[in-house]
Amino acid sequence: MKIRVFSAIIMLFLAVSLCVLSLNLTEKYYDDITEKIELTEEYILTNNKAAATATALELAENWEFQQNIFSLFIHHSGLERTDLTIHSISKYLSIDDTTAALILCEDAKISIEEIYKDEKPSFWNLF
Amino acid sequence: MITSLLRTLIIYIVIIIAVRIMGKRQISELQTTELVVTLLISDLASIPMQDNEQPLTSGLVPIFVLISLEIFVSIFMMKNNKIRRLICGKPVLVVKSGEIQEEQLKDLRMSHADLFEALRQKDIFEIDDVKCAIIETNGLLSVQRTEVATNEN
Repeated sequence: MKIRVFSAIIMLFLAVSLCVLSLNLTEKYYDDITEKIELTEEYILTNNKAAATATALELAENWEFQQNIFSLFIHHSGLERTDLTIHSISKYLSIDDTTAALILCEDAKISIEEIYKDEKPSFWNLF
Repeated sequence: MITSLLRTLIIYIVIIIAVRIMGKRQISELQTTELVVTLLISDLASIPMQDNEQPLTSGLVPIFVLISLEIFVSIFMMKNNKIRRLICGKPVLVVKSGEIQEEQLKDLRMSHADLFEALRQKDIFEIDDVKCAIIETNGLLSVQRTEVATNEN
């Protein structure tokens, strides 16, 4: 009996910890990614192509690791879309297509926000 | 494919541990809560096993929560009869001194044919041989034979 209660407490603790951890990581990565995308947008708008490319590359590099962590608790199909968008930003910048890069920045922001909103507990998510 | 194989292995181990923790009742007669938990766990386990796009944790977290809830609820039921009655219901007397309790039977949505079938499975072919018959909370029928029927046997 005591072992069962102990196991139940451990499992509940584990489940809650995983949920809290996933929420915290999502929040942290969401802030980080959004900040980098906004910075890239700012550089594009001020015609600072070198800085924009560097930020976009850094964003794509960080995303590689963040995506692995996200895949532990988020449906992979949602991540694939974001992955494609984030990697495409630097490619468009390399061919000087700033308009497409700006559109992709917005797209990436929306898809990362969707991931964050899906993970965040809310009344609408519950039902 | 290897991912599916490994996932299946992990989930199999988790389910085995779950059934061991929940106790032997999970493999015999089930109470309402136990039936619900067993069905849910089997369903939850199958989703990440089949779909590699689905993270494994999305199946494991609800399984962990269900197991813990099941253990807590069973402990509460053991300690408090009111909670047990609320969750599992109470046994219902369906035959009293050879007389079928029609109202109770109707409440259970059980026909005469169902009752006689359950009695036959207990080797009782005459309703008069029954002193009392009770439908238990797990759906099984408990029967007490009349003294005459017991002596005849």
